[in-house]
Amino acid sequence: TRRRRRNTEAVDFEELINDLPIEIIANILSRLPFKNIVRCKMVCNSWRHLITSDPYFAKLHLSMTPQQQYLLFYPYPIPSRLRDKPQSRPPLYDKNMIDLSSTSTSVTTSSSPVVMTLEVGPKLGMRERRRRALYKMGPGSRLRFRVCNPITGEYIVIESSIKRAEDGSYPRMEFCYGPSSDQYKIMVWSKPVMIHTLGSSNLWRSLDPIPYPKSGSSKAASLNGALHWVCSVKHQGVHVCAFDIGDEAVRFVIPAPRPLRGDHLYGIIITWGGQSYMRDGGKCVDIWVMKEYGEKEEEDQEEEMARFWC
Amino acid sequence: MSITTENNEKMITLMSSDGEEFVVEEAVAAQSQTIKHLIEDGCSTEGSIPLPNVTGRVLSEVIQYCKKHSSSDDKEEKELEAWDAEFVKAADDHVALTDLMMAANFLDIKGLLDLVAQTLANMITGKSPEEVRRMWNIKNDFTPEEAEKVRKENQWAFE
Repeated sequence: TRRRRRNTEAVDFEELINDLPIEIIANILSRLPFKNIVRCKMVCNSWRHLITSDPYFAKLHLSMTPQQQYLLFYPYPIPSRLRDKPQSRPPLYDKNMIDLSSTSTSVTTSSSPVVMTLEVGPKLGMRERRRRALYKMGPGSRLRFRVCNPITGEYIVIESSIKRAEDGSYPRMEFCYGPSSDQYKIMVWSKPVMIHTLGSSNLWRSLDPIPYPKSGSSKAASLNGALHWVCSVKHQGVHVCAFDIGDEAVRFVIPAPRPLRGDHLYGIIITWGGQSYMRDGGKCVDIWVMKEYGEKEEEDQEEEMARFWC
Repeated sequence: MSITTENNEKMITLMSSDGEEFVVEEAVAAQSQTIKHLIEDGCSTEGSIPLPNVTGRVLSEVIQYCKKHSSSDDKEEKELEAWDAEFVKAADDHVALTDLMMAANFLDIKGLLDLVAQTLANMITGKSPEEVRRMWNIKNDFTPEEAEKVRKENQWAFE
């Protein structure tokens, strides 16, 4: 009888797992460190779907484990096309980078997610929708922005007088959310740097002179109500600057985890769950994690977290 | 009909899916938001609240947890933490814990849900996908091509 009972229990348990509500799985997985979450993508299709494309999971992960939001710092080789000559047309997206400003913007607020559709990351299913909504700009035109909520399909268009550069390239743009002021802002790395607050008619303000201008072409990352970007400080090398989105002031500037080397650019990404990996065209990428947010850290406090090949 | 104890504490009866009855103080049972709402809606006047999703074995554990947490105040936080740790340890394995979590989810007891979810999360930290599947009897429904693709995409997380 004992064996029999065991068998019955096993069967019951199998049924139980099939019925295990997705919110229970999400609750458990959202507590894992992000490397483990990434591994769990390989368990089965429904788990993978939950982790990679369910906005509910992203929100849950952030709300439950704020200490698991990391500021990452990564160097990657300069793409040859940037070294050679100016681009003839603006790239739709840079395959070396993932637009995580939109992801983090969509999860740092309790109201419905708002996503700006100006730039997209590489082939991740979730972003396909945004790519389709990409606003294409004609040659020599003024920049026009489209902010869209992919869930509802609503969008607004914001005009600007910022022009594309003569070589056809266009400046980097950031879309960010400042919880302290409850405002969404668009920041454009033109000369001068321009900023626009959503909902404030169509006014653009110049941020010049910006104390620590961004270096390189990487995007800034939005975390804890601040934008973070890589900048060069005179005679002191590469630093990371945190810029408060609410009051538009510099929060802190900390040195990069290690000195700039050769022809490397640096970028910053915010990570949550499995969304944080990036492609690098087969080159090796080092990732550094800021252990405690905002601490003025020494180099040896930064930890080399993962070294991987894509 | 509800029973009242000497110190005027209102008692209610909870009935498990397998017909086991538990008489508990209302304050204990009301740790469950689900039960609290049932009481507020007047569903307990018959004297017994049926809980068709929870077996007697699991319910007795849940009640144990609710009793402890309704009698302790904030001062005893450290002691309560130690008690919680013992409590999940006594639940033995992930199967029992999963049952407990299902019950906590249904009964809407946030503290218990958090406690068990964290315990289960700790259990799967560092486990391989295959080990996680075996743990919960989950079917690997990836085609070989899909599996290879997902593996390649996430290679770094395994190093």
